[in-house]
Amino acid sequence: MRMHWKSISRHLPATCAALLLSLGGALAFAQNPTSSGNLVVSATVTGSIQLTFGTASSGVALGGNGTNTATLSFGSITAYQASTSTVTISTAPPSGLCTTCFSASTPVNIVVNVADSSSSAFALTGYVSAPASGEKLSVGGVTLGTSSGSPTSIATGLSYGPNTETVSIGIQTGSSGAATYSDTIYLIATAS
Amino acid sequence: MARSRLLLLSSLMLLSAAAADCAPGPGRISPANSAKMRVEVGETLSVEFFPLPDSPRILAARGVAILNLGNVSYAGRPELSGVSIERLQRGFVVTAALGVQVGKGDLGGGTATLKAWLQSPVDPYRISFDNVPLSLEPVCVDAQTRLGVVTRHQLKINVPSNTSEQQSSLQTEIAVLVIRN
Repeated sequence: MRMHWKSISRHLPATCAALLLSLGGALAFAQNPTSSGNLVVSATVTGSIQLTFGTASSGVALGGNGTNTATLSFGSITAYQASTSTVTISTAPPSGLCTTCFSASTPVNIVVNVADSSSSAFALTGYVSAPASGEKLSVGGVTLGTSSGSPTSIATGLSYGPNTETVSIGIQTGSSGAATYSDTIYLIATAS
Repeated sequence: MARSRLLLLSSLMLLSAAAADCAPGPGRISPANSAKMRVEVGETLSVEFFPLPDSPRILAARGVAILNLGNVSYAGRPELSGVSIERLQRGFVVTAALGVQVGKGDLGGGTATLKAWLQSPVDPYRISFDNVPLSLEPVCVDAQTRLGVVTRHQLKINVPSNTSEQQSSLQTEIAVLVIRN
């Protein structure tokens, strides 16, 4: 009996340590279960440019200002007068727009931004869809054609950011009575 | 005497295993340790990724998934459906939803903590999971993920504007660790 106690007391530290370590191991098994997964994500960032319309400082306030689908209303115009000061009436329209006609003009900001591209300039082309007979439209002094397949070149080498261009509508004079014109101008910016 | 030494040795081995598995702090958790723990406990959890009706396709095998967001740009529309773009003053954010299921079947309505981290740096991009920015260190993205059901999550990639490169690719691996609460 005495010998046994001595044996126990001699091994007591080691026994306690072993018990504690066993308890530690048991606690390890009591950890909450876990699991893992992996998600591979890939994307390709490509360069792009963006065209939007903005109201120029002395121009007609655009509907949809800052978007790429803006509306421009010249309001009521006559050969001699416009209903708003931001529209300029001329009986001597820009060259090539029309003859025997008058024009209404206003400046518009054409804003083209670039991202993730080394391009430093762009070209601007455009066309107008189905204008009424005796009616012409121009952007930047260039009369627009009606072909979407080969749009009219308006300008090249333009810098990115806002570019103010004059939008004009030429109306043949001599037509009888009042008329309402509604047209859609398509503009295309191409990085160069 | 011999038995005591044997007990001591086996206890030491158990303790070292516990120290590896229960390392405090998210930075010391690794998928390899979690797999080991799963075997010892005898209770399994699983993590699987799923596409949602409004998310892009996800190619998934058990525990591993591939999410391709396609071509993305500042001004253009995303190439793939389920991918959306939010334009910022400088750069843009690509967003996509995805489903995550932790565990299968009836798990008693339990919950798990979901942690995620990047396997490698993704500069200059910034990736967030459920609006929690990810880094190389594990971070908790959902402390109460329901077990046994597909839960909706959101992945966002912030792409800063770049004026020098015309095209760049992003490919990264996001590690996810779930711990049953």
